[in-house]
Amino acid sequence: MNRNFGVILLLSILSQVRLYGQDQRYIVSTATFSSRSSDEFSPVYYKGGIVYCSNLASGSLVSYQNGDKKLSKIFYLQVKDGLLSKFPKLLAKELTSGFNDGPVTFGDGGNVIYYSRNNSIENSLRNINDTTNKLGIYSAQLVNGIWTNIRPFTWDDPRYTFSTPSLSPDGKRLYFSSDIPGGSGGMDLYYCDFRNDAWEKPVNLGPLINTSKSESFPFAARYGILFFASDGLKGFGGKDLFYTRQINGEWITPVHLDSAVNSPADDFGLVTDSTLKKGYFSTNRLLTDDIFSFMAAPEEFNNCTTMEENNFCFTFYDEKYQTIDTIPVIYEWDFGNGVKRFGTEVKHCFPGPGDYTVRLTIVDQLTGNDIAEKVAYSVHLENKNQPFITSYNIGLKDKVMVFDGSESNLSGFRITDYFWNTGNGFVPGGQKFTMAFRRQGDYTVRLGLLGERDSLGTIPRACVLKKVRICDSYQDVALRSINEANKACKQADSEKGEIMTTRVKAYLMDDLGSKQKSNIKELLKEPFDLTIKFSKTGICSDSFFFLDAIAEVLRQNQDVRVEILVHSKREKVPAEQKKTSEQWARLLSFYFKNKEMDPDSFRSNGSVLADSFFDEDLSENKTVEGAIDFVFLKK
Amino acid sequence: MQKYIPVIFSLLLFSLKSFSQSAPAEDENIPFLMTFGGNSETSWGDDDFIQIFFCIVPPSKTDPVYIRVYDPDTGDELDEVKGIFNSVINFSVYGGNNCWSDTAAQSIHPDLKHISGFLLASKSFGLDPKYDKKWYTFGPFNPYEGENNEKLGGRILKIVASGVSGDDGNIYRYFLSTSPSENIPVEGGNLFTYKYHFRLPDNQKQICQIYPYVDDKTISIEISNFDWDNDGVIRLFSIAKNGIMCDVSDEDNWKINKFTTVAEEKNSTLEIQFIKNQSLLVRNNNVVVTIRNQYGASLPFYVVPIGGVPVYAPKIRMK
Repeated sequence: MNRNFGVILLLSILSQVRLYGQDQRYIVSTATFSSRSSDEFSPVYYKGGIVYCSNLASGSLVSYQNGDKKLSKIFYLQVKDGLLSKFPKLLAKELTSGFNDGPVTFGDGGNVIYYSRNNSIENSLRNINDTTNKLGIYSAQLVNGIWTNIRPFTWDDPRYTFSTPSLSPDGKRLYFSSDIPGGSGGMDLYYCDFRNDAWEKPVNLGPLINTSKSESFPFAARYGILFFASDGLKGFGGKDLFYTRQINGEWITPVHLDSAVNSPADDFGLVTDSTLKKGYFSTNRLLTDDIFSFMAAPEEFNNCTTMEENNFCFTFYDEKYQTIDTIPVIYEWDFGNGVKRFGTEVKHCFPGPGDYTVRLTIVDQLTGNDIAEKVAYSVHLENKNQPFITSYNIGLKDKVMVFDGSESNLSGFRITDYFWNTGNGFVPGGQKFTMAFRRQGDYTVRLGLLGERDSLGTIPRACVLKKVRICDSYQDVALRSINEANKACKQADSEKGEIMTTRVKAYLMDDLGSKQKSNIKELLKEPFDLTIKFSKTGICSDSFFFLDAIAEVLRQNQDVRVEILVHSKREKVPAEQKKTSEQWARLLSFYFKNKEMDPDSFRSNGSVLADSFFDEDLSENKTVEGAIDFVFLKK
Repeated sequence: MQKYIPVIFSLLLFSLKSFSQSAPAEDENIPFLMTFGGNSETSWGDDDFIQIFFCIVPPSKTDPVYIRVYDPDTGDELDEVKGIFNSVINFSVYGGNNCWSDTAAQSIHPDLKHISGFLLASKSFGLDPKYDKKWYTFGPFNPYEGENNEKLGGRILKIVASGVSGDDGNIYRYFLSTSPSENIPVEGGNLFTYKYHFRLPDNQKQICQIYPYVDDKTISIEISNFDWDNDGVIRLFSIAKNGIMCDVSDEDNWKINKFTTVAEEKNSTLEIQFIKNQSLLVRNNNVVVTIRNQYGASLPFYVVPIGGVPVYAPKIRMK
């Protein structure tokens, strides 16, 4: 759902709503199917139409009064010829109880329903105005057009209220509100995850979301966004609409939807379409419960900057060292964890962000004494302060590419919204965004982020862009192998530990000319050790031969660059695989950087094997612990 | 410079407490000073047959002080004979105004005919066994007879050893003492020279070092060594230099090395290190060393290094 929308001055004309002290970022208007004479609320999309709750006379035989209000029923507006029907009808008689029915949520393509209703639906005097007849959540399946197998939700308890269910888009999580004990007070929001063919125990969304008053009417939108209503969180009064989402497992502070969606009256029961750009919500600002539609203005991010790669590889040196080669001293650099390097200038790649201490000892070779002993140097590394798009820089036509913004690092900026733009404007999304490009060429992918509103009411924004090349096809380079697999790792330094071997392949993308392809093949025709070996923090020197051949290709073909795609499979956990892959990728980049190659001529990318660009399955290959693909393409 | 005076003075006081005032100092690992007779050949290691040392007596010290000379005569196994011992070396102590501040007093080319200051004591020594390996004491000297200088942190007395005649080498040591019969250091005292004439140990494993002090006006230095006889290496250490090699002199010649200094070396002590040839033993090697700044002004070698022995502090950087 877009939150930052343009100011729309026509709002009052369209909806007759008042402004409540904020710029309007939504266009709202009364939904065409909402009446002034009865209550309508909690719409959901269903098979192109709308299902909602209403106390509109249903024609059923029983219509008990709920105080002064009629009881709600579940109505359905079908779509005909692309237009919503003007005549609502009951969704299904088998789901109509004569008590309160709804709100509802659908799963499995509309063939499963979860809905609220009173637990006891016997037509007896005892049930009329019986406050112990609580709302519960029920489910049913649509079989041959009939809702069957109606049964209470696993965790339903007639002693407490369970209502306003909402299934996540993947159907694996059910949100609902309940007053079961152990909450923050009033109605709280909970969810149950569906695992191993069962709904797991309810989980309270916690005190950041739930207050001592009531939170209810959850709506699980795409990208993990959860809309809900609260009369306990700070808003305009009554129930107001908010949204939250889990980022890296943590719920973000609820974001209050601006006017004109929220008002001093009760605003609740919001639903959006899959684009998050439009939808409906419920409000009693016009005295009766009505359904309003809303549209979000397109989001814009100006001044997107080119994303910078994080750098954790450095050359260490003693600035005071006099470049006189007659000085008989040994520089010993201790990078911790058993890694020592020797020389007046040493190169080292750190595994990632963090605080490190490098200790330098200088030994006088003539006397054997220490000239300097364990002089400490603190290194603080962090990801660059920017939105960060993790993805390949290349892709294939019609093949889905994954863009991941979860490694964005913005100090003092708590992300609330992700927007992605692949050339057709920014669209709301989640941390991950997938896209299959239909045509080959160069594309610019932009990631825009919104943060929590600051004390001055300003919403921080940030944006980066990244260029990707989409190719139509590729061809393997037939590399010739010499069997060096068992050769020991030659390290210039005294590093000890496990040696990890990766297999190497080379590819030529179709944007290269035939002459370039021939030249590259020619330069790579010698037999090589087709593995690259890594120690804990470095590349084994016997792998340099092949890397130097790659460097020579780039030197001789100034308009060619290489994408180095690195995958580790040595760890079981994908996150750890990615970490190792990224470390190896950094080492390779650093190698070429130290060869003084044009920085535009090489890029390396570490990712989990499951995301392998060339769909290679290495799981059965026990001789290697990863794969490295050198992909040549035009700059 | 004014602003550094208190700093230098406090450094002096701090650093001297833990050192004795012998020249050469124990930490220098240099066994002896040397002065050859006035008719000697410079190829024996002494370029000018005169050595001038200054003694600093701190202001707090008002009791008499003594300058003691070990083995002042020329004629025993310590001294270096050419043919037969025939040399006379004169030791003279000076005080009073200009004994240090006279520009000529700090020159590395002293003019024996124009030694500045007020002569307090003088004695010449030839071949005299009663002084072999014995201490001869000059003094007592009232510290107020020295030239007062705040910059140096006290009153200055000067002792000049000059080769009057002969061609042998006198090998000796000094001690600034509060006692005429014992070597009791003057608390807070120090000795320094602008031109260091000394005898290296024969032991090849011994490493010697001397400690020139670089003031705040210095932006480059010129280290000169004389008659090193290619006896190993000479290196320069400081807080910013980690053992830079110097060109070494051969027989009867000077080698001059120029180095720029960095900001952090101002008002700090350098270390010139002498490591003997490990493969070829050079015996009785006599050396002369001077250090001058970019203006040609001599910089002092203190036997007790000001601020302590310099420790190289690498400046780690990453790129």
